[in-house]
Amino acid sequence: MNFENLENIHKVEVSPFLFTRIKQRISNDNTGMISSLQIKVISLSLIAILCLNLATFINYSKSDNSLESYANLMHLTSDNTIYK
Amino acid sequence: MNLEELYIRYKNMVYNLALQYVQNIEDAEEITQDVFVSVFYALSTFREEAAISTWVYQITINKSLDFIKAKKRKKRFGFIAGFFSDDFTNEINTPTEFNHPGVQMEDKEALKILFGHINRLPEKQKTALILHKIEQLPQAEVAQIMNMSLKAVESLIQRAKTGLAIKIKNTEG
Repeated sequence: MNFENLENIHKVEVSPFLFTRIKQRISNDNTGMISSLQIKVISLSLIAILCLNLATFINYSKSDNSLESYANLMHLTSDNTIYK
Repeated sequence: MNLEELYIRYKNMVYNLALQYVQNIEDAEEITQDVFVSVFYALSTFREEAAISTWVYQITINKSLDFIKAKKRKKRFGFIAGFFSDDFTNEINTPTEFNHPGVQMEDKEALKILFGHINRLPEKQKTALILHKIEQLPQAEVAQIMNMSLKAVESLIQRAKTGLAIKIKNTEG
């Protein structure tokens, strides 16, 4: 056995139906795939939702949510004084 | 150039190179499909800095090596699964048949053993040997395809030959 055997290997022709199979595979891939436009829309929506969440969170933490302001808001008093 | 034109021009090159890696018609056809599907998706990003044939060669080599790795993984998984089920192992652990259509009957046994040794070489040595000795590409082109210097390719081929010679000697002797 020697390396010269490797040079005796002949070139062969590919099956004539292979290209049809390749085209079929590409079209199958395309039907199951999400288009780049869809990806952009989905990611933009996610970013928008995240921004809204963040804005709400920041506003909530900045707002004065003490018991007094809550009571004032609900027209209640917080000092137990009924008559002034 | 569109996919059909590329396919007509390079189909046999891709198929024959894949055959040298897997020595099996079904596997080589699957790799050829993988290569042209990848070519189809990557065609728009191809920059003509390198020759298109070099690019197609590189894709074929990567796909062939990936295919072999995936098959090995599957076999390993089959081995582990074999502890739990008998039927599953029988299906997966059957060795791939040596079914190289480019090999003549009188060379079949010798080449089956030789390819058995080539398959155990490190990936780069195997690729350099296949491209130079079987595909009969000049070393400069092999270097371009493998993104290596000419010296490095020469060294790879030399190491592959030495490694193979030792393995053959051990088998025969």
